[in-house]
Amino acid sequence: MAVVFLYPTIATVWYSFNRMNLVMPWMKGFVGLCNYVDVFTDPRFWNSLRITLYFVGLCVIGSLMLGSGMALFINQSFKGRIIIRIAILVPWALAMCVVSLMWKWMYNDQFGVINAILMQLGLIKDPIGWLQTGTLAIHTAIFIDIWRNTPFVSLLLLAGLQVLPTDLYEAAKVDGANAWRRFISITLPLWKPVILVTILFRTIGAFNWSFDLIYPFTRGGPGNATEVMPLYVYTLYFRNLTYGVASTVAIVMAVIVGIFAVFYVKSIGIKGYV
Amino acid sequence: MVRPKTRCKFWIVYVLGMVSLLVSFILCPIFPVSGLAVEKTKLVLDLFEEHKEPMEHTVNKFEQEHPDIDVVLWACPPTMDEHWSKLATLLSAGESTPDIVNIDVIWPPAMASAGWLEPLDEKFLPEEREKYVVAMIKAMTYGGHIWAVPWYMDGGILIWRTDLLEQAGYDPSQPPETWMDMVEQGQRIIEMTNGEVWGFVESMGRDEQIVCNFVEFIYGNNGEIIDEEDNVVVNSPAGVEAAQFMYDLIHKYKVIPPAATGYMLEEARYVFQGGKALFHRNWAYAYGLAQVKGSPLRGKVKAGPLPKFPGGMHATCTGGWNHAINRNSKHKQEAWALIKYISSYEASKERVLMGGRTPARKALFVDKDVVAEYPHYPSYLESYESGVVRPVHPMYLAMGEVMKTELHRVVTGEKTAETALNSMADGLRKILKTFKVK
Repeated sequence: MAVVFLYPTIATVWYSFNRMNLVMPWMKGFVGLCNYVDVFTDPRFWNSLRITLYFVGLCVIGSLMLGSGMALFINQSFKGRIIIRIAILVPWALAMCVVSLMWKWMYNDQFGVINAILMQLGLIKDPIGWLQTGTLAIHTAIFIDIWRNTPFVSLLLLAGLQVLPTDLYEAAKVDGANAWRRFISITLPLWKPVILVTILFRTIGAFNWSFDLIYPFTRGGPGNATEVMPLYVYTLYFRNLTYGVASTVAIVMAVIVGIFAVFYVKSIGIKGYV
Repeated sequence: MVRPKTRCKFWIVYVLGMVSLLVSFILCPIFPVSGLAVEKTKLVLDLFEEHKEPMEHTVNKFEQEHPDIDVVLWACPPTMDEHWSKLATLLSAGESTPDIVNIDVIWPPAMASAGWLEPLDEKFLPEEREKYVVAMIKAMTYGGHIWAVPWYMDGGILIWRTDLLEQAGYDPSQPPETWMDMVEQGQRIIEMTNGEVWGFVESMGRDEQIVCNFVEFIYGNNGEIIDEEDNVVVNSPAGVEAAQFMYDLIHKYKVIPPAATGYMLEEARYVFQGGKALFHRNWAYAYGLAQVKGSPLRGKVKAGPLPKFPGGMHATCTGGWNHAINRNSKHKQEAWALIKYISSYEASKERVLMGGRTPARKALFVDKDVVAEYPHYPSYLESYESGVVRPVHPMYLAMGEVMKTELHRVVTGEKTAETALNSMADGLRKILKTFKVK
């Protein structure tokens, strides 16, 4: 564990305090916080951060809303429940790169199925260039991410629902509580720890695996409109070979995700568990 | 409550299991599954999957002449980005294989500066260098040394539909002379087919490709990116005009599908291959694919030099791949022998006739047998001789990033051509300043 986890982490932290550009191997040296200053004064970094937070925010909220609805729905008993449960899992079973490319072709303006359907239905006259503007591109990407990851969210939430004690509901019914009251006072509070754990996983996932979605989809374009942080770090490391700056951004990323994690874990608390 | 003895046994088994897993991971590389032939010198050459057949033919003949050398062919990853990442990782770690690396025309300065390649000054002599196009040799040269031998050369060409051009009322055998001629002809076909067929298509996605296209426009307008004295001049009036033209193609002249700003190379080619465009700018391979048996465009397409701007030149962006020797290779002499053999006239000719890509040697483009098989090759050579190179600088990849971002902003209308090119010039100057020679 120590070897696989500690060594790369310490190495990255060390690189972030060094000037390190593979193309100029003779210019190595400890530069203290210089890289951090460079990164925090770089508009491209702030652009990337802003886009990533927006992307992660909407993805988490979207898949949470949808996922909790789905979980509540398939928690009921009805005919064909098993089939629905299996069908819901299909998007999550596909690799993100495959999903990304598949949707990219569907969104293609000339040959894509989405424009074809919209035009057939008469909703649009000319094909829409989905990946042409920054706004359209990022929201399309968010949609794809929600499509692909909601099954995971609904599965976790469903697991949380299934361990809720039924006798509480019966007692509440006897007391005359209606469905909405039962949901607010019984389901939600007991569900809270599972919801928070799900949000934690989903946030980390959206943050880190946005690369798998964005790279095949738009490569960070148009311009830099969909350049999420993992993609930015990848560019700095592998295209520009500026290991010093790249390590700095990587550390900043890790700190941000760490802050989220601490916040969520603190929110769960010990009181949340019955 | 689990009994203490059972718990103890569990932990023993668990720890033993973990240790043996760890040990097997560590020892794995020492005992590879396939045996190595210790007597023979093993040379590793990395190349594209689709070139395997012609190259295997050359390599087999080489092995016959050198029975003590065994050549292993590695397949490169399919995209240039992944290929670069893979090589950057291997070479920066000081790996001794691959002995011969297959590198893009824009990589030699970066790789040479990083100390990953072996200089080939004594081996790739000036008399030999003259047999290749000047632009290619320029791209292989950095810091006063030459670092690679061209393997195959590529350049941007214009491909068009002869049947559609004739339908539009123009001479189907002649490409448009200037870009505005092309726009005119493109607009005509759009009119005639009621928008079914586009006038022109090229990849304008946020990728290296858009930089290649821009290079052709700016040099075709007598502009430059970085001049001889290392001044950044990309935002000169000629440059701004060139970038503005790229924007106008989409938004003013409307000859190219607006979604081309999201097309990578293959997507643009599919539009042409699917019969939905009259003109197409691509690398030579696209023409080959259009003419292959079974292609619906077979016999209906022709290739020629790209148009120019009035007073400018028919510029084509030099591309292509080259062989270099890994500085940490343990078999540099043998690696050179193989490179020399691969790049020899006879071996290259055989591969070209087997359906390999365009050669690198100038003489092969006008060789009798080659021309009999590919009559358009002499016109390619004409284009390639006026080839221009992207900036030959170790930090070109970082520069390429700046350029492709700003160019993409121009074509999507996010910034005006002038603002974008000014930002680009600032970005390039900043990068040039960061680079300090040893």
